[in-house]
Amino acid sequence: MFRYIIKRILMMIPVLLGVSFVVYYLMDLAPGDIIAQMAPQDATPEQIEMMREELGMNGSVFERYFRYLGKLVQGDLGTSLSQKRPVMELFLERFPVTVELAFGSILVAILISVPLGIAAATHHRTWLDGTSMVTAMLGVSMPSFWLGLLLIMLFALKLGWLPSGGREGFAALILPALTLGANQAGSLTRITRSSMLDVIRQDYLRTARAKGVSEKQVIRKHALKNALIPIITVFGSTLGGAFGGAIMIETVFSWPGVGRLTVRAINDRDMTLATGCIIMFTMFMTLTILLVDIAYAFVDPRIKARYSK
Amino acid sequence: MKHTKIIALLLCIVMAAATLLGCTGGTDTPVTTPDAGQQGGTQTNAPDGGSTGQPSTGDVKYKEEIVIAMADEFTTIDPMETTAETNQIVQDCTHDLLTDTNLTTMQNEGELVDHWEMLAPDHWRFVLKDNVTFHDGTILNVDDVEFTFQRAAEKSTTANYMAKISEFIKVDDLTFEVKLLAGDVDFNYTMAANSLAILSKEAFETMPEEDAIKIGTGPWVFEEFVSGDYVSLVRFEGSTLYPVPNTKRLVFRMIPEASARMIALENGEVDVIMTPNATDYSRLTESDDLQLITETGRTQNFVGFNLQNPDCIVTDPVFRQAVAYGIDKDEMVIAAWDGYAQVSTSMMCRDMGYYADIEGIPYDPEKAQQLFDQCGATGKTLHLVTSDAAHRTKMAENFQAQMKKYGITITVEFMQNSALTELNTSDGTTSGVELYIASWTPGKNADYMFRNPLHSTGGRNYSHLMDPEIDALIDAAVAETDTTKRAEMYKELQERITCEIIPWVPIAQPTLTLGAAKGVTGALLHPGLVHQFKMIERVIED
Repeated sequence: MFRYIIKRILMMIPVLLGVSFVVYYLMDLAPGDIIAQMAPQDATPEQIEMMREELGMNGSVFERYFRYLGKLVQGDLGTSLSQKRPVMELFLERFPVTVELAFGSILVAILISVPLGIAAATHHRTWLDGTSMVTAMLGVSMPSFWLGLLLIMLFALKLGWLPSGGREGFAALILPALTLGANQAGSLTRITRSSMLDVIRQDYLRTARAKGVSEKQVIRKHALKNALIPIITVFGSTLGGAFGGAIMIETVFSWPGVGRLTVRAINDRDMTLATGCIIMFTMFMTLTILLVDIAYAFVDPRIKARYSK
Repeated sequence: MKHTKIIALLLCIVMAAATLLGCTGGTDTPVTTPDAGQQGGTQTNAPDGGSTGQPSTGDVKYKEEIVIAMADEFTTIDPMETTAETNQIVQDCTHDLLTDTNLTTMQNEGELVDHWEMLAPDHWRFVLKDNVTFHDGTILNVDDVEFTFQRAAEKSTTANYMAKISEFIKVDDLTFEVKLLAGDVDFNYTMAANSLAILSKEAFETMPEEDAIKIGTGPWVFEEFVSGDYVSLVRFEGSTLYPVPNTKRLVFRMIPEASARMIALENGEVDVIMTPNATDYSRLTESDDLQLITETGRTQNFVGFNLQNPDCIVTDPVFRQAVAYGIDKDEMVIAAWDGYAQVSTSMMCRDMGYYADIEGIPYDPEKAQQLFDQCGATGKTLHLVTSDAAHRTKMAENFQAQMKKYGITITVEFMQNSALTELNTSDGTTSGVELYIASWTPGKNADYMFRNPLHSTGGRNYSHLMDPEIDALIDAAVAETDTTKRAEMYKELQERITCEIIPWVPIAQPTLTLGAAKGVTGALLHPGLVHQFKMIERVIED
């Protein structure tokens, strides 16, 4: 098991190198010059060149990338060109805010999808099953920004119950988490339902029923535990989806997270900031997927047994 | 199965109803506004505006906290690290300049400087105001100015201003002289550059740089900055330069989406919003609780030509003249700004010093068609580039439609502003640009209006105009001390550029706008987009 974890961690290195190069190179290919944007309107060509040198933006893209890489391997993500502050500092300032939103949305997704998925499976081919599936489909197919604006209009503008944006207090988290969670809940409901349907047809559950165990106990104690195992595997990708979706939601709800920081860096052609944020995102995602895989091995006794051998 | 279909149908109806509910106009429905207590409470002041900051028994009540929603992100309080308007708006509250534009009179006046004298075009004397207090309690003197200039010389954003100075002479604690490398009769305007806000020398000697940079002489003191969320300021009780504001705390919140800013204003979460959508103007003007604050803008929007593009008809002056005659600017103003813009007749912005009210080239479609036929443009296809900003998109589409009437096909390419800047500043002979739509905001003086976009050495000479006569005229005007002669020179420049050379066809100066709650006063719109909130306050009803 230990060797497996080490192997997976080492595999992250080429992934991160590849991501850093692709992002840096693509940012360079995109038209637009951050120096020309940052310079005062009356800047002379000499002044623009001075700025270019001061910010380390002189030389070919490969020269600049290897200079960047040299610092990266020492754990230095560089300094933001537009904000003139260390990228790591900027990322760490905003990252907890995005994590808050991502986990909030996952909590919403779980609270909606698990009961709904179980109800749909245990009432297979009834009106409840149909309602759950239609709701799940709506959750998956509704564009987040549209749902977000709709919720703002209803709960902030019409009813005045919740703030329309910002990050002041718990109330400010509800609408963005609900918007992002609705999308995640859709796919999780469908997975929970199909996983439950697989489990409740197993022989061991039939045996439990034959022994006189109540239906509630059969579902809670025997079926749910096993049905949740596949759900854990999709947790990693759900978290990835939550981070991806956060970029849009953070803009709609003025949520000061990493998503907005990254979008702004891309728009500003701030190569070091954009590359740094994406590298950190990638690292976080690969680590999460690794942790999920390890957790899966611990939850499923069959896998644990295989590794023990 | 039948049940499923019925449920699906019901859900669809519910969603459709929710959509309609959400999309109904906001003006005919009462807006739920949280009570003032939740928004930071109130204070009372004497009705005579004595601005003591102390509660009194008068019947005028001011909101204690004002929240301003900004579109872009604030990133730094250091004036020398940025030229972004969002940063400068906040810095303008905390720091002061030697001279600044008085937004009521639109004249360049002393801010920290009491008066100045041009001893010669290359020799200036400035006298500082007496007893001006920094936030750390120290008193402003010439050493602070010298320190600021030395720091500015080392920063890329400000180095070009300092490069003009050959010698700085301290006369006494409040008087200094500067000698320039070349004559500049507008040097007082250079001192109005936002990046040259005066810093406290003592603060830099006694505090870490990140704290010292927050110390200014403005009426507001830096309080807190939460990246991407807000920056807050508290009033400076010890100011000797300004009356103490009636508002206790000023918060700049960053809300990137225009629709979200509008909702936050309607919901009472913010008091002022910057850059409201043109589509929301009517909601602001028709609402009982809101207002639209407007001011004539000083951003010249224009259709430009790349004069260095080889083998392209845009280099033919007859073609450019035809375009100038052929554009119905009134129609374009309605299309791009919903009518909230002033049609331009000159390439120079209206309210600037030395603006001459020239007739320019009037709209004359028949004359335009005749000129297009004369230069052989009819039936040709030309390419136009512009940025993806909403008003430019509409300008480009309208221009495309108008040119079609003359038998000219315009293909339009939209790109991000940074890409457009890069393309327009690259070599004109190889960039491939034929026509472009851009704008120019000359925040300062007449020289600034002409030099950067039209002088052959100008950093923003997108049309690649290389005319030695125009260069000489721009250079001569800035060195001319006789204001009458200078006015004649700028008039000649306007006429030649607008009617003869035509590197651009000036279209309009859009109106500057702010959305605000009723009762908000003291928000001054700056033609250079660095709006002023130094004395903002909101009177509230009992």
